[in-house]
Amino acid sequence: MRGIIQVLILLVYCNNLHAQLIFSGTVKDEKGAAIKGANVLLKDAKGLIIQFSNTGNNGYYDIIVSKALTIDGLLIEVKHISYETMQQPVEKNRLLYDFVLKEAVQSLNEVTVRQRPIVNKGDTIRYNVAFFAKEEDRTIEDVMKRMPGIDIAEDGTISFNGKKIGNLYTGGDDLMDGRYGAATKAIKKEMIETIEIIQQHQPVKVLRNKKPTDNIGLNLVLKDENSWKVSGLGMAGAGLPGLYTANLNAVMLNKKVKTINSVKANNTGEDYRSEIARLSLPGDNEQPVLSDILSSGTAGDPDLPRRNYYINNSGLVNINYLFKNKKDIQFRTNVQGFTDKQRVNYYNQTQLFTATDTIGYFEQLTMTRRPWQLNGSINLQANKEKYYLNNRTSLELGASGENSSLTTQSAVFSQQLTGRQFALGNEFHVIPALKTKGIMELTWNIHHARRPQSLFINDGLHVDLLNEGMHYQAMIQEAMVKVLQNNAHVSYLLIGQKFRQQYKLALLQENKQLESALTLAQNNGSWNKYRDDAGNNLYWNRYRASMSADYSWVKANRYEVSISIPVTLQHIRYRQEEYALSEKYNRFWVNPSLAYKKWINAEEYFSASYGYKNSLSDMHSVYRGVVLTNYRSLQANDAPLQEKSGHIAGITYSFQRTLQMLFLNGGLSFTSDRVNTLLSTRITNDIKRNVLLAIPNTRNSWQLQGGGSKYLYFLKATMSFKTNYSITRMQQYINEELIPVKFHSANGSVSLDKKLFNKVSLNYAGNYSYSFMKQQVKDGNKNNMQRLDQQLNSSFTLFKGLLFQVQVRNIYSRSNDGMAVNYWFADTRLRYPVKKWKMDLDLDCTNIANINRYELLRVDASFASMSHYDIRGRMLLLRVAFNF
Amino acid sequence: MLKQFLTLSGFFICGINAKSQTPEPMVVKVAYSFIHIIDKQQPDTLHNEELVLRIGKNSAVYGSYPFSAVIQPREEAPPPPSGGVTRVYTGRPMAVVNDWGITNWQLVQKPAEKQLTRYESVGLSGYEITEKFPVIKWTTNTLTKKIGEYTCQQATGTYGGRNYTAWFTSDLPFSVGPWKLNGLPGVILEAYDEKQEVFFLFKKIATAETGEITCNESFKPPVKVSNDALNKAKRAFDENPSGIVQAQSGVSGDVSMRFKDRRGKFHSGEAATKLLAEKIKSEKSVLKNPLELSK
Repeated sequence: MRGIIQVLILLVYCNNLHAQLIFSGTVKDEKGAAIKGANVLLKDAKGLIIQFSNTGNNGYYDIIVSKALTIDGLLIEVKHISYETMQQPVEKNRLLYDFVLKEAVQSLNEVTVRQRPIVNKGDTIRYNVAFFAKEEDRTIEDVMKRMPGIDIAEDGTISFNGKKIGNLYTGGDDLMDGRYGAATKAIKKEMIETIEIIQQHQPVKVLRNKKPTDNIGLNLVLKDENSWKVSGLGMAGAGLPGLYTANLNAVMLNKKVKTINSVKANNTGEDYRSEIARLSLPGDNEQPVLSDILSSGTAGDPDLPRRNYYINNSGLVNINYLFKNKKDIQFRTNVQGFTDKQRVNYYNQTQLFTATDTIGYFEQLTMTRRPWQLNGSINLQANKEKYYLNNRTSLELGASGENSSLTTQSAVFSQQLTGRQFALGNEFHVIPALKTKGIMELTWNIHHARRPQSLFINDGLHVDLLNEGMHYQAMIQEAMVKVLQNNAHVSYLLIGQKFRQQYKLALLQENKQLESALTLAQNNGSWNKYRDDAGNNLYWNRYRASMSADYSWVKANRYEVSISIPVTLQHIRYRQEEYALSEKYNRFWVNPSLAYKKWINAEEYFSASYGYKNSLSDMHSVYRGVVLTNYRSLQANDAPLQEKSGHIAGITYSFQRTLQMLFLNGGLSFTSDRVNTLLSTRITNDIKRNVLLAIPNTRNSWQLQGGGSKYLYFLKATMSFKTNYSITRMQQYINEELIPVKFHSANGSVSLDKKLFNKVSLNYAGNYSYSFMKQQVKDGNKNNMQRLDQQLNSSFTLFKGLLFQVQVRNIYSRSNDGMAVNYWFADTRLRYPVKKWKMDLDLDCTNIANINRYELLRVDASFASMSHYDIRGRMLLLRVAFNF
Repeated sequence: MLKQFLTLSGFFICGINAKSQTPEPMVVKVAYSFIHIIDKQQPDTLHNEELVLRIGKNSAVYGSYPFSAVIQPREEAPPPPSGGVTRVYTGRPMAVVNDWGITNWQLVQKPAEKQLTRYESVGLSGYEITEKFPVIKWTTNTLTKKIGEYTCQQATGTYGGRNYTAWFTSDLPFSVGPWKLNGLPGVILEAYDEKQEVFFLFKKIATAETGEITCNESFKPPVKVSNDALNKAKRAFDENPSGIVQAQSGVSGDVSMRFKDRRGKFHSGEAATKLLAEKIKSEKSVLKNPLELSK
């Protein structure tokens, strides 16, 4: 039986052989290598394809045809895009046809259909404004909020897909000097044609095609580049109790001139300082920081949103003007003027714990603060094919006056703190076009700043310490810091496919001066200087040269390694002749850092980093004379410059399963800092005296953190959590005792987001924190504190675009001695667009429960405080926004 | 990780969803009008879209990325400066839902390797699905016609339960075509089925600009999944797009939803919610007459 089947198979096979013809062969290139994937066509005399095949890996092909086929005029043709087409006529009794193809430069004829291409380098995304705009939208910001991926925060910061944009450009120009927050709110949607998101935005022409930046640029493309029309937007609002808010914007944008100007005023708690601040700073400019030495009180701001406690009366003028000529030379000026009148009212009870004793303070402050500020800058830019040059000159003027009356446990008095600010700076930046692949940059910045301050206290405080036990009438503490800084650097950057190297040489020269004097008014009306020391007149010089070499390797989705080895030579000299003090420091540092990231698979990675750092403190930690920094703190230093060196190391692990929508991450980090001096605090019932002492000490800290989120399919809601636990050990020196302290802190937060019936959205966020600290001595002080902050937000969209929002927030905190605070805040908001009038109506009711006072608990190992702040009570505000 | 996710969503918005991992220099691209008449009685159930086949020497990518767009390699972003601090970004993505007549996948054909891969995204995540490489038994006929500048020859073959007539040109020596139709010794410039329900009609053709490639490089490799798992994710996404995007991106707070209709217009708020409900309903009738009647 089996034999018969075999015979049958053989017969069928032979029969097939008879009925078929198999042409075969190999296709190779001139070097003899097999060509795979070439099309092999059997064509008839008319050029029609009768049968076809293609070559496999070894270049072999076969074409099976019926034997009945007439061979006359048949051709075998081999085609491949990289080679010239070749033909061989089919000959009788020949079945094998091998081909050797010649390489072709371009075997495809130019195709006729062409159109102007939109080049999509680095993924530019263009949004057509008309596609997203709705009738009721007025500003370009209203439209941008509808665009997928764009997010605009309360302070005007724009993010694209979660990443902050580098800068905003209007018609390709940076008009606002980085303060773009005011622009999107002032430009009408009708002026803009498209919005471009440029993923790797490179505004500098000489660097195009050279330095792929990581920056996202957002460009507003003008609808009419030749329009000289001025357009305006306005908003006016009024409410209870006695609230007003208004703003006017005038905008003109064309190819040559761009200007955005606004005038604003409010007393509703809106802070204009975000419009004065630069949201994006060009480059990594190191600007000298001058901090104020004197202050009116000792309590900080409460932990509430700023508009809850900012009791203001502010005005703002913002002028921005840009002119560009045909030769790509750009002139720009930006001016901001700001005035304000703020009211601050709080009282505060603080307990300071020493190893043996507890000392209490009480402070009640009622203050009016009147600051003003005027910033102006002139910018010149040449953005040419051969070079890029930018020079910015800026001037900042400001002053602040604080009148306050203070009640302490032992005195009632008034005080005035006045301060002035002056800053002048020039930033010069040039990038020449190089023929090589690398990029060279040169910057040179000069800054000069002065900040004089004067604190007048209309009472004779701390008679034992300051006036040898004699009563006196008043005192004036004056302090002034000034700086002149020169800062230049040259850098060379070379970016390869995987390897990036950067070399940088930076030079810094800094002169600073700190002056202070304490003057007392005696009972007889005469003024004399504080007798125990000569005040301060400190000169500080710093020179620094640093060279750094940074290397990184990146293999996309596999690993990233980066190493940085900066070498710094620093010379610091400071002198105070009145104390025969003259110190010199020469330091040579190598501060290496290393980071490594390894992708385990597409959804998991591990990273590790290590760094070592050295630093020297500023002149604020070396002045010898006593300064009354506030009515109850005297500060003087009796130690060398604080030197700090520290290690920081950490590992993180990230895990995700996108299909299950599960994300987890965790990490452990360790920091160890060693300093050569320690802040010593001498506490009496009236005064806290700080002195820096030369006692070396170490602070170690471990931190463990984890977080994650999961989409719950059954609830159709997202749940996320974050946790954090840290232990810190350090030493505190209080009243001549060195007290080791250990801090534990744990923090956990949960959030849940859910949409109901598609029109209602619900968001819950809860945060619980627990901190515990203990002085590591016998009968040492122990403190702990718990805080629970919960917030529920809900918004409903009702008919015709009417939006209704409700927010409820509860804050509960409690310390170990039983002090507890519990607050409920509730806000609502109603927004309705009147399409016919092109107006937006907005009704806000904040703090419905009318809470006028807020208490804040603060606890540390050595102190506990309870502050009571006056905050804004219930507010009702109606706003109308319109075009003109 | 989050950053990459968020960046990925940018592509979702443009309508080029997941990307192949292996772009190569493009040689030529062909735009087709794809028409699928789902129900001849109901004229509004019509899928009509311009789809583009970008052909390279070894592979071809078929999807909805606009014909006029020239894809060029992304320059390697510089690695983060060393010693840098981990940046924490604020801001949130949006959930964008496409209507059913919008192609949100890319098909990559590699004829020499006999590989067919689909790249598709749901919300912010990209997925890779390995498809069965079609083996179509084509019969060439003697009919020819001119399409554009090219003389095409007719061939017939069956795929997915439909009998197709295809017009191909051996002047473009690539064994590829629109959708999953391939295997002829030249590019298929036109194809339609016997029932006159599915059409791939030639629209235009262009050779590559300098540096043009077949598709965008992916920011991160897509996750390999099975078709069933992907369908489950797609269903969950349509049921609660905002929730899914929120879960994928790990942001807290409300993620707003946008609905992109077949004309390319975006809708928000109530309109979007209504359109999404309509999409889910009409998709059921679309499923009654799919492109592939049988596997």
